[in-house]
Amino acid sequence: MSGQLLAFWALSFVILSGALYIVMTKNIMHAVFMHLLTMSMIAAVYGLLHADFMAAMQVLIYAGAVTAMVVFALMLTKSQSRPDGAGIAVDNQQRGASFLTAAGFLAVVIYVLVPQKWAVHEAAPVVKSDVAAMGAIIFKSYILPFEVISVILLAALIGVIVLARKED
Amino acid sequence: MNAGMTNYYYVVAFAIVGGVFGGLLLSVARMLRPRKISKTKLEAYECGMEPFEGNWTQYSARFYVFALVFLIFDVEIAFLYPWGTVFRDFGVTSLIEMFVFIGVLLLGLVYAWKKGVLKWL
Repeated sequence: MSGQLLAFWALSFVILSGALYIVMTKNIMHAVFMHLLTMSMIAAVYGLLHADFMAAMQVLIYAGAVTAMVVFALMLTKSQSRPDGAGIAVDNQQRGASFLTAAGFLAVVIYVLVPQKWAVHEAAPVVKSDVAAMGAIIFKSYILPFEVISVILLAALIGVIVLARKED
Repeated sequence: MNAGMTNYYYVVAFAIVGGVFGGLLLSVARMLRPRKISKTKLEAYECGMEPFEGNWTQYSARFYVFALVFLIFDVEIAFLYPWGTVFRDFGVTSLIEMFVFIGVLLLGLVYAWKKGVLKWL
């Protein structure tokens, strides 16, 4: 087994346990920090695939900004934990229905994926840095779409301000 | 297996040594330290005023704007990475492109400033 495969399995174990912890913990703050860990480990998987730009973005945007946003969103909410410190309820009456839904989804995924014959081809030579190639494409061929992105971000920014002003 | 693959053994070894070392230190500390929990020890501050309410208070929605503005400029930073790699080759053209990009976003920041949402309460 190659080191890459070994690292992949180790990372998958951490990612899946972290994701499970997020949905099963009674302390919502612990869930946020486990979200941070899970997102960082996904960045490590990108790193394994030599997608360094994706890894950097995963850390910058998901592990950084999105986690910070979730923390801020939690600060807006009322405390869900009971005074006795028992934490939030992670279980309710719809347990059976959700189990059936999840099992059905799993069955569909297995039905589709298992008979599939995955085409395995020789690994393509790893490009030294895909960021430079991407930059060349963005700043030479796709200048207008690139500038339009800033307008979309501006629309989001103004939308945030308008909505937040309404709250006051 | 080529040379590039074997490098990941170092990553795995690093992760294992890091995990074992950290876990070992924490468990040694757990075995050695005295374990006497009292109500005073679990309070947020060791000294000073005694807390009179829970540590989970509801913040004003205005603070959420800071998080969202941060997120938007974080996405902008994502485009600076590929820009930085080609800046030397493309020169002034790409500099102008990036200034237009940031300029449009700065309009939003100026709007936020003028609307007073950046004022700390």
